[in-house]
Amino acid sequence: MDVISPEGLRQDGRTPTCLRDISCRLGLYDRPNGSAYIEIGNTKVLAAVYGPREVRSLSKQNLDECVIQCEMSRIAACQGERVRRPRDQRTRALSLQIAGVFHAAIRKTKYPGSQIDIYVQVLQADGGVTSACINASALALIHAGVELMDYVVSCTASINKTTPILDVTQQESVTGCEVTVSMLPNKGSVVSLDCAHTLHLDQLDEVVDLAMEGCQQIYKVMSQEVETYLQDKNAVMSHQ
Amino acid sequence: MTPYQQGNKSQVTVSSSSSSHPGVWLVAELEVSELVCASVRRIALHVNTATTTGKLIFGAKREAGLGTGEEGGKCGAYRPWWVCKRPPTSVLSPQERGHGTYMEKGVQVASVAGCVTRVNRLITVTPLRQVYQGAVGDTVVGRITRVQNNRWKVDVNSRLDAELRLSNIQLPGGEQRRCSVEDERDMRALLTEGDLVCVEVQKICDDGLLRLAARSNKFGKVSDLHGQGSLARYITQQIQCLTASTLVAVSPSLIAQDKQRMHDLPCGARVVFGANGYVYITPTVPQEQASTYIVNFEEVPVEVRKTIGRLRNCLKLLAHHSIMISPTSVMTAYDTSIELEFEVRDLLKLDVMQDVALAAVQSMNK
Amino acid sequence: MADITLSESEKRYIVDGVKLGLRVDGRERLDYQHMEIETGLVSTANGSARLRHGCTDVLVTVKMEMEPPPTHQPKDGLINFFVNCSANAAPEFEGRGGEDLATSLSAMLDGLYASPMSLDRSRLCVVPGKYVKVLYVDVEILECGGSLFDTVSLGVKAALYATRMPKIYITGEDGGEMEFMVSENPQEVDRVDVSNAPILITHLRITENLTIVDPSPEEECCGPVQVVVGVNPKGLITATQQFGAGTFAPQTLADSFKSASALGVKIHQQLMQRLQQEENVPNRKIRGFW
Repeated sequence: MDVISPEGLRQDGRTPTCLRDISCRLGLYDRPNGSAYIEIGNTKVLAAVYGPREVRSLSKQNLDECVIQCEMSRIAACQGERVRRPRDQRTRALSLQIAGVFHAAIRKTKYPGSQIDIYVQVLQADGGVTSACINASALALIHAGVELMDYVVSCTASINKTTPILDVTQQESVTGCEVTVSMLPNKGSVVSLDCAHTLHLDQLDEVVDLAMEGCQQIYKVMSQEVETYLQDKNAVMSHQ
Repeated sequence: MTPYQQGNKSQVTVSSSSSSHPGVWLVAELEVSELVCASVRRIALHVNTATTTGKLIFGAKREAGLGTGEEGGKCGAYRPWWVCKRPPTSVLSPQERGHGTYMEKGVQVASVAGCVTRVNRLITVTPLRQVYQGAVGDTVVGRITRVQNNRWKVDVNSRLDAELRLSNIQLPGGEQRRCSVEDERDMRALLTEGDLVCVEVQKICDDGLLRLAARSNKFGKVSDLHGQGSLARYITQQIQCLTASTLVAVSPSLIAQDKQRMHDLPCGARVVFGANGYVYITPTVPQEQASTYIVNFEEVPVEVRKTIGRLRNCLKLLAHHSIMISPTSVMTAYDTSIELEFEVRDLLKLDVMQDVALAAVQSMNK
Repeated sequence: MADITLSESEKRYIVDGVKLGLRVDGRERLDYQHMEIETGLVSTANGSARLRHGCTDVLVTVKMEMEPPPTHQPKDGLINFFVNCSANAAPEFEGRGGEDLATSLSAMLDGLYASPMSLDRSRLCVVPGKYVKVLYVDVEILECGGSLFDTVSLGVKAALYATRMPKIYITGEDGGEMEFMVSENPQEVDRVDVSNAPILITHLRITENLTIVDPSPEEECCGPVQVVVGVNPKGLITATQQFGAGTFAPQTLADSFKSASALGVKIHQQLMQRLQQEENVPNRKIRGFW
């Protein structure tokens, strides 16, 4: 079956440059310093942030800036086939990638000698898992009140023959490449660009541009949610 | 489902009715003479960096791209990154950059999402949830996490465990006494892992480590007479004021600024509102017996326990709904919950929590 | 479970409160906190349930697979439990940190469902000796705030109740290989009979002969030993296990069993009522993590 139908629509009825439905929420749990949940289509991710706090193993302590750690795991039923291990080599690699993104975004020098832990739990995976994880972690960090340079938003894009497509699903990423772009939306700088599968160099610009455009759209949703959260909470907090 | 989520919705309605309290949410109360700030809208302001006249124009910083451009001029982009351009004449000294902001190309940018406060030229952004930042002179409640050579490590909900040096607590023999090797050996008898202390922040070290002190009589071990050795007994008798009870941890941003941290509430409990968000509730000790009286735990009667339990649950529900925690708000919630005839354990239910929080906010607004 | 250290005085306050019959948060000894439950929120699983209970949050998913049965029980399906303590719940669970807790939880669940009285496995058989249905029950601990055993067992029961397995028809045999047809009609489903599925009730010993149910993490800090009792809907005890370092007086144990059995019947009723109520909502919208 074609990724894009003759009418120019994708299988789920989207146009090539349309995002899936996004919804997110801040503050699900009390125990972690920050927590967030994001749903991008059928991809669902929970994130929790612990810290900044005293480092747990002194050997890792860095007296100039903070240590950032990330661990990602998946629930067994997150995709069609049952996942036997919640964590494997692939999730570990992704965890490192996510931690790397936030190395660029967290103002690390504000927290010398401390540690920030980001834990991501994938509840359902349908394409764009890495970007959903990054978006959820960013929201959780904002909820935790960790100082950031900017939001971090991430989005995927791909190309089908000559048409660039935004926010690919699992099914769509099987046939083509999956480019994940994470960026600081207000600064306009890219913090990570990750491409799986082959992509012609001439098309790279087009795809990355589209993904960045998608990032800005996701950013709007996320900042809207942060604002609603603050409005809800601060309405009452303002009583003083 | 319980109306767990619907809670937020109905709170918004309350908020709109309480609009007599403007200006806290993400709005800097800027002086008009210095910066023209026309909006009291509760939105984040994003300033056009192109302006050089010292006026604030709410618009998008980024010209091209999605969304924000067309709203320019009216209200800012919906983003909690608070940006403010200084008049060209004013040079920012480092002290003027408050917590939660950083400078980028001469523009002050918020690094957290929260509420903006401004004192003279100092602009700070306080997030709803955060770890304790620390300020010299704050009274905090902490829990001992480790006993080391001549100091204790104390968890005060900050990004590094604070330290309490042996030399910084009052030892038997008056303030002038120097601590001996023997004292060092007895440290564990004084305070051990898990003990609660009520102390003052004495100094913030360069790396952000908080150094605590308990020199005056009003500070000390939040505990009872269980340490062995005369030293411990001495100290606890000195500080007796805090006895067995219970601790509630909330976000430090929710604790209202107050000079006095220890309050004897009319309902018959003493509450210590630690600036770090740790709130400690104990039964009130009768004044006349204050210096010698040691509370026997068996004697904390059911009635007092009910009061403390209700206070604890009230604190939790206030924190759950992000209502500032002060003696007034706690007492209002306490009285409201009695008025509405809720049992102490009813206050654990999310819907009841919401009802009480709403009613408490309403009665406070009156 | 959680890394809380309390001072002696806080512990005494909790213990004395239990002696007086009033716990720190105002509950009595045998009071449970309220729970929230939702089923069917993971669409990639055959059945799923999320249970929030106080500060504990678990997500249970059930996935059905077809596998050859073990040789000694050719006519019985299988049910496998796998528990994972997510690091989201507590940073101590990072890496392999939660494995000990996870193992004791899954072992307890295994024991609970081992008896044919709890779950009729023969109904999971497709072709005797060749293919049986295997139910993989995966439990994810998302937040950990006391009384995990109880919450997990309730979650498992709810998820099993919500499990819908497509009907399987044997269409023929081709050289020893069976051919199946899996029904795609969402109405044609098999369900798991949970009418006898047991749940766990934990009693935490606080002092000599006083136990409490549904302890908070602070209370767990004060009582070193707990007894976990499996109770079926009729109030019969199906499995017990003692955890922690400490001892029970035989009389206390007997009392705990008795109260667990009585409590269990009540909780079973409430759970089933709640699940049936949820099922009967027409076009129910999944609330998920909202």
